[in-house]
Amino acid sequence: MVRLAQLIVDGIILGSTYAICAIGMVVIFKATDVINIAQGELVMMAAFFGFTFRVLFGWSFILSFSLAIGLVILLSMALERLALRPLIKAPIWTNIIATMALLIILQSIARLIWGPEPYTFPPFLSRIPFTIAKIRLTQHDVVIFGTSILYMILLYPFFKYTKVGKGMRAVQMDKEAASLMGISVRKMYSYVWMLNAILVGTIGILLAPRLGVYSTMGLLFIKGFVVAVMGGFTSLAGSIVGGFLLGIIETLAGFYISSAMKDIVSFIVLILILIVKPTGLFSESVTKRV
Amino acid sequence: MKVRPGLLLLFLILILVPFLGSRYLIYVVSLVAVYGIAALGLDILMGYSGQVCFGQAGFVAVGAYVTAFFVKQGFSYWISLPIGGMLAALAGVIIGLPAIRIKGHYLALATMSFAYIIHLILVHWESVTGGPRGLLASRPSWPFSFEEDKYFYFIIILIAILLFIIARNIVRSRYGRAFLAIQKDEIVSKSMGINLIKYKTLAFIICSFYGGIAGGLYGPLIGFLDPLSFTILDSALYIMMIVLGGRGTLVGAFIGAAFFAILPEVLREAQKWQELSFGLIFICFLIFMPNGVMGFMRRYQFSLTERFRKVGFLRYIFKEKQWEEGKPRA
Repeated sequence: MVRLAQLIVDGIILGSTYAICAIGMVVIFKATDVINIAQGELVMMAAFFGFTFRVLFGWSFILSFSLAIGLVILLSMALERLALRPLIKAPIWTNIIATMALLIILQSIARLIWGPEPYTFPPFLSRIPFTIAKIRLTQHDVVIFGTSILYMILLYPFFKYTKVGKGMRAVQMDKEAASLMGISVRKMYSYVWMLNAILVGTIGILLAPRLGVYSTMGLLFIKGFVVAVMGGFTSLAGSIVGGFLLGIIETLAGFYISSAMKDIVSFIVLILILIVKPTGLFSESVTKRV
Repeated sequence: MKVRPGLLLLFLILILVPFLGSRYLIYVVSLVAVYGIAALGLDILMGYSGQVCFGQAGFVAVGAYVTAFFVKQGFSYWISLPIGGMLAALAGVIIGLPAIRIKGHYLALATMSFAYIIHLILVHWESVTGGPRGLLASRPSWPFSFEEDKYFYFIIILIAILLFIIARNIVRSRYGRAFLAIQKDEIVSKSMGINLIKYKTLAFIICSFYGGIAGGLYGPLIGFLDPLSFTILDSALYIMMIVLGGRGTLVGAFIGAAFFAILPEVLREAQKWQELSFGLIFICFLIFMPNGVMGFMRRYQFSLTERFRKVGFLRYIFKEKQWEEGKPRA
């Protein structure tokens, strides 16, 4: 029983990172119709930037953290401007394949600069576990979970009350109407990618001490799209629930079936959802207009 | 029949390659043909029926491993190869049937996860696939030994030409027209009496069968199967091939395949830069030449006299870049 509870807690902590990745993807997709496969590569770049400042330059954690986030923001805005905005009018599969090319590009750039070998990132918090109600946790886990939850909570007032957040929602609803109301659609595209970079970059740096830093670490986060599909690619709440669900499913499958199943199960879940309920687990059906 | 000098020249070159070229050249040309076959199937699916498949490497993997497995069980290669193609086509049906309900980006994600699952199966099901250590794939020994690269080269080229002719005939038949209609507008073509379920599944079957045959040829050509040659990035590579060569042109599949088979050999010295240049070239093609090499050549042929002289070369290339503003994206 304790073991099951422990696994579920582990799954929730893993799932919170998936949820953040998925939220970034959903926000981007709703505003710009792009499915960002290269999401994990932004995580990886953030981890590498943080690693460079923290370990190679020896700067303080706070400084390297904020610098790394800043660089990822610049990077992701540049990607949007240079690679994806010219494809706005193109059919949707071109966007997917373009972000896939970005995935290849970012991965190979990371390999060119930092080499293929994995690095360790020194922990910035104690990794000695403590126990609450017989469940082992580390401070690090708590921080990862807490930050994810904080972001999720902050997103609500952001979309509800701030000018930029409202602008993003307007662009999601109707681009032409939004631009008639004086909202710069292009600017919103940049802001959306910026928001995504903040979400994903934070995850990258927080996870770096746990996972290590290496050029293919982004592939771990490709599951973000599985989670996004669980939420029907439109619902933020759906992605949060989906993230926790997938995290728990994966951890349980990894423990009770086999570690190989850990990866396979998430993709099986995805295909099942797409076959049974393509609009996502939590959304009502959509009528198609001709 | 009209004599086409270009075609004759191509045949002549293909026949002369094994006699005049080095072993290395033979290998590269065979590789182009194998990649081309897989891209050809994908072109029918993506370029004609307008569906998206991010999992062609999965179908290639099914074909390759099934063929190698049956050869290992003592079957003849000439029986194993079609079995590999058939089983890949079966996988295509399994993926294609649910694909009727989903489309666009969902289909892309579903096929992508199919390719992932296949890759993970290859890595973890060690008793059959050999896992990360790989699997030996031997060449046929009947009616005579094909160990010599030249002989196997002819097999590959023959099959490639045969499959190309079949694909061209499919595309020009009522099936091809139905595919094009579906691509243009599903609801309209359904109301015109085109059976969507039949044709969409059929496109998937054709695509996966071509992929499977390509896989069955790939194994013996390389001599060795490794899960790392069937990753999700390889699926992306097949899409890049048809985009680069020109979607919906069939010949484009081979042009793209030639590009992606030859580029790594050119960049052999600078292996580090290989993937980076793949990605960059592809993004540039998507933005500036979305219709690929063939699309460019076709326009170039027709409008050389007027347009080309008037606007100048560079402007001409960039003029082509705009994606047409058609229907809003669904």
